[in-house]
Amino acid sequence: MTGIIVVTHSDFGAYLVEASEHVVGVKENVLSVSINSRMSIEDVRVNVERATEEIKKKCSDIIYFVDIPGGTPMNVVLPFAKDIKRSAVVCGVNMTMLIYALNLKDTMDFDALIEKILLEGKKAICEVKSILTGGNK
Amino acid sequence: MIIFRVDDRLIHGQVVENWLAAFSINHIVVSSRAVVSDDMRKNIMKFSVPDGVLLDFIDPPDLIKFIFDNKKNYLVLFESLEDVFLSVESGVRIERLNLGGIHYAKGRNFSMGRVVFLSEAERNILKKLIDAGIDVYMQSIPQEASVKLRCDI
Repeated sequence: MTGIIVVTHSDFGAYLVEASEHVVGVKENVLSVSINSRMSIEDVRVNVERATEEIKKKCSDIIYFVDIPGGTPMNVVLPFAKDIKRSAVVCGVNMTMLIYALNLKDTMDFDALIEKILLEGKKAICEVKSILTGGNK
Repeated sequence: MIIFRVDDRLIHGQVVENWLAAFSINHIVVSSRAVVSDDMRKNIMKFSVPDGVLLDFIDPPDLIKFIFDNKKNYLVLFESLEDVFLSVESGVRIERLNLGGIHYAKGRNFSMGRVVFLSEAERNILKKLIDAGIDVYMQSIPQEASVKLRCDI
C-alpha cells in the first residue's frame, strides 16, 4: 500500500488535502505536515518523522508531496525518503496531482503511479482562455 | 557586494525565491561547520540553487581564505552565530550581519523577534559581535523592514 504525506509552508498542504478529499472522498493513509516560521528545523523534522512512522504502520511505500523545490519542506523530507526504498518526493504539489494520487494510490504500481502523478500535475498547468476562441489549451 | 546572513535553514524558499533576485546574487557561500562534512545536505542545496548561481561550502575558520571578487554579488550564509563567531575570530571582517532565522528551540529563551530566538550562550556571542562593531539587523525577507539590534540586548 502507498501512503501520502503532504509537507508545505503554512497550512497550504492541510487545506489542499481537504479540498482534494472534497472532490474524491476521504482516503486512508493521507497526512499533512504544516511548517511555520516559529518552528525550528528540529520541530519540523520531528513532525515529519511522526507522520512517516504513522504511515509506515500500514504502508510500505510513501509519496511525499512538497510545495517549492529547494524549500524547507523538501530539505527536511529528503533524508527521510532516502531511507525508504519505495518512496518519492514530488515538488510543486497541486490539486490535480493530489487527486490522481488519492484515487490511484491503492491500485497502481508505485513507479507507474509516480509517472502518472507527474504527467497529470504538469498537464493541469495551462492557460485556458484561449479555448474560448478555439485555440489549443 | 557581500550580504552576510545567519539562517538556520540555510538555502530554503526565502533565500531561493527572494534574496537571490532582490540583490542579483551570483554566488552563495554556505559557511557552516556542520554542513562541510555532510554530503547529503550539500547535495540537496546544490539542487536548490538556480542555474547561473555559484555555490561553495566553506568551513567558517577557512572563510578568511576565500577570495571575494568585488564585481560580484555574494550571499554568505551561516547556520548559526557560532559559525559567524568562528569566521570573525579567524579574521573575517563583517560590516553588517543579517539575522534571517534563528528559530525557537529548547533553551533559546530570549525572543528577539518573530524568527530570532537566542540561548544565553548565543546572546553572549551576539553581544561580542555587536561590541566588535558589527551592525546587526533582523530581516527575514527583503520586503520586510530591518530591525537593528543594540548592544544592550
